[in-house]
Amino acid sequence: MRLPLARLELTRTGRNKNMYRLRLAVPAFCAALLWLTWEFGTSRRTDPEASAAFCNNLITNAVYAFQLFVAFLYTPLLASETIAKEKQERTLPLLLMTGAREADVIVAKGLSVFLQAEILIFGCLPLQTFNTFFGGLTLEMVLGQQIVLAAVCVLLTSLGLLCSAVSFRPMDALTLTLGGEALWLATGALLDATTLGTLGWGPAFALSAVNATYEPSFSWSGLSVVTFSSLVLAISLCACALYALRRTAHVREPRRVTRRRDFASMKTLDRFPWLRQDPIGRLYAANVSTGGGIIHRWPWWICVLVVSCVLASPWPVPLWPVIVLLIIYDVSSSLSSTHEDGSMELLFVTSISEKGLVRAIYRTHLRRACVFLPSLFLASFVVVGPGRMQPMAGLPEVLPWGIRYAANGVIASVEAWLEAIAYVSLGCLCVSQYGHIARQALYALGWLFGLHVLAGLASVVMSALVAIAIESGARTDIFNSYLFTPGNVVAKISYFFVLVMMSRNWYAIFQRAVEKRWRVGEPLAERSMSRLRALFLESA
Amino acid sequence: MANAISIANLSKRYGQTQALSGLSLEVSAGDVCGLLGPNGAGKTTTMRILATLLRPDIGIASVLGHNVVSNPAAVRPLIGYMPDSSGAYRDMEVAEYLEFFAAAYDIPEAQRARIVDDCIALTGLMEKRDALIDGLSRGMQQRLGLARCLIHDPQVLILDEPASGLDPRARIEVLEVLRTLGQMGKTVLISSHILSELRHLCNTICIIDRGRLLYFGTIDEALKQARTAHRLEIRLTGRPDAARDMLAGLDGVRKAEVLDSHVSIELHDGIEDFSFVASRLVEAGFGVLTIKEEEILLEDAFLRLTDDAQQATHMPPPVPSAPPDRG
Repeated sequence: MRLPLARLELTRTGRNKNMYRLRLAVPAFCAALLWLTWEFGTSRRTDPEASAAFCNNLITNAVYAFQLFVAFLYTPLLASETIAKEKQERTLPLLLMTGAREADVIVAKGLSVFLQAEILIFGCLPLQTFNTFFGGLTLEMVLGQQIVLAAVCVLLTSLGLLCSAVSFRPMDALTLTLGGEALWLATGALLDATTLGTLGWGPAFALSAVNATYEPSFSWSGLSVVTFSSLVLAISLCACALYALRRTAHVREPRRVTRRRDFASMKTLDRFPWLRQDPIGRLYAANVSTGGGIIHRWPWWICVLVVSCVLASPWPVPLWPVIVLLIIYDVSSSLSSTHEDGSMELLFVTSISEKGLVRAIYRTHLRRACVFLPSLFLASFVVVGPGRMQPMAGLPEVLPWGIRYAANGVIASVEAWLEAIAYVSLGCLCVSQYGHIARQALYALGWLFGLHVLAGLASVVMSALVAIAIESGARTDIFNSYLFTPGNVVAKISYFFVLVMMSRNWYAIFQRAVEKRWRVGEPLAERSMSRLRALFLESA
Repeated sequence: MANAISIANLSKRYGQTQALSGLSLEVSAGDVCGLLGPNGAGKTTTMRILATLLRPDIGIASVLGHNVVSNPAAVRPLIGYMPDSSGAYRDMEVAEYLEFFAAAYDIPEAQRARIVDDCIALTGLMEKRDALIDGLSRGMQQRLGLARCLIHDPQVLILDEPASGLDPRARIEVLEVLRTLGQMGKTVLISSHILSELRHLCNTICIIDRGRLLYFGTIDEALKQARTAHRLEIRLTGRPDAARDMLAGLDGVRKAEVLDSHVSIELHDGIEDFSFVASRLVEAGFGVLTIKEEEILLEDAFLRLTDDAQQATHMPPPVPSAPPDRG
């Protein structure tokens, strides 16, 4: 085994300055948050216990959110880029020519990714120990959570390496990795999703990690089971990755098959005027299908089947975010790779107007998102709708149960479709501004959070106004309640309105980017934070 | 002289496409051998097999006596392979990239800096030592690829189109480096489409088409094979058309024509002594300024050999390829 190769990889990846900034910024941010909360908390002197509990919750959620982000998103991002990027840039043969074996490459890449992620997670340990002072979590729980997260990192690194070894582009590898991660989460092996609603992510995760994974009575054995099973699975995945790498390392090009149906129009979707494709759209769709992500090749019924299996499982994870993530990744990966591999230039040299071109691109991605719609609707009717049927104190149930169920399902479905449109716009926007896959994914998530914050604020404000006006007792937690009070109805409508307006605005920004930058050949470049802020304000 | 590269009956198929078909070839140690062929001839496939990156379906290939299929680990340290597309880590600096590969090749740390400096100097990358690879021009990236090939001082260099995409100056410089390497005693197998450049670089060439060997030997021998008859370029005083008419009637002259200000004639096959042309011209009252044998270009030889092969494959029944001339 050539560990020097691992060292080289670490040196190379360690040059990424953002990593150091991130490493420093997060603990600093959390520490500042802690100090501010403690110093300026109104109840510190009057009620120290309440203040400590508040600090505890704040830090717990901030740190765990970051750690979960690193473990569940950053690690797969890094891992899926490794080998596929070497293949894409044709540097893998050069590496293997040095005498390094495939196993060396797997170990080197795996170690560098794991250490990068683990350093960030482990760096939060001092902050987490504050929790023990504030009385929220015990040291045992904190350490247990660190161990589980390390095991998760190992597992997701192995999964990313496997997907990277079988793929020829980082985009495909990332899509596969996230899909695999979603399936793994869907098994409920790690997170007991039923506790999330009541506890919040951080405490739920910590409790789940340390206490029961499958049964509450397991206690510490839950941790052992999770850690052990993750490590065993990781070793198996690494072995598969090694096998896959041996088979694909020397293949020069992925097999590109453009089928006749890639150019054909889908009659079902053509019935909708806003999904209808013109010839340019079909040409673009065919180019995308060879140069982009792979999800669109799944038939819709497979998505429904997967979702049904997850729903039928004893530990249904929140499916909505997973599907949403898949939509965003499909849009961003396919659009950016089509742009980067030069397929887009085939369209740019035609005499088609920019508006027509942008419309063709956008509609194509909307059509690709349609693959997920049946599964989104299913999730809406089976999980989201009924989930919002809980009676709430102080509010009357104005409609019979059956009608409410149907109405909640329909509203959730409409919401799903509108959000899908918004996410397609968001993906297009992110790619039009940021070219690099990791950054693009992060920024996409940033925009996603921004969307929810803004939509939530707008809805809350409007519902509060309506509630004051008609004194109906509208709730601010409207996202969890579809009780048909006038305030909630207006709030939901306002949310839909915000979604539509944001989609329109993001589409307009994407259109401008294509017209002014892409067509004249300006490369996708990293934008500054001020540019991001300006765009955010523009879209808001 | 021992063979540095030895290929026997090599075949490789990609799906329905036969990339190599019974290719046999031997390159002596210290030779600079040019691998020529039209697109899809099998040049890159041959090179990738030699570089241990591809397994042949049938046949044996060995480098310095080591079988590339059964013993790739022994072959890899002995060869420097430069693929047709220069793969590089774009986020690294030039020296850093070379140091990375020096370390990957297990070169002791104490020697790395010196070796990297030597490679950088040899390939003319001194000014770009600390530049990011992403910002390098195509020519500079080709040089970097060459420097990477040399970092572990391999005995055999396998270079796939090292001068492609370069401007004339960069091409000349890269070829100059290759010539130096040839003088240093390295065995070089180089593929290129710029045939005229190979003439001054290689001492042997190998022409393949559709995975078959059409010719292997020295360049002079290839030109001799390609030349079916002498062509003479004659500059003279007097009317060129009158001279042409006179020359066209001579025994041994197949064709005569006026080109620009000179007369060009083609002799019949087998006529090696063309002194009679000058004497007959003088006798006819023409003043002979120069008589020069027209140069057969490597391109002509290449075209003639590949055209012959193409015609042979189109003729039913297929004509077996010519046995390789070892020159």
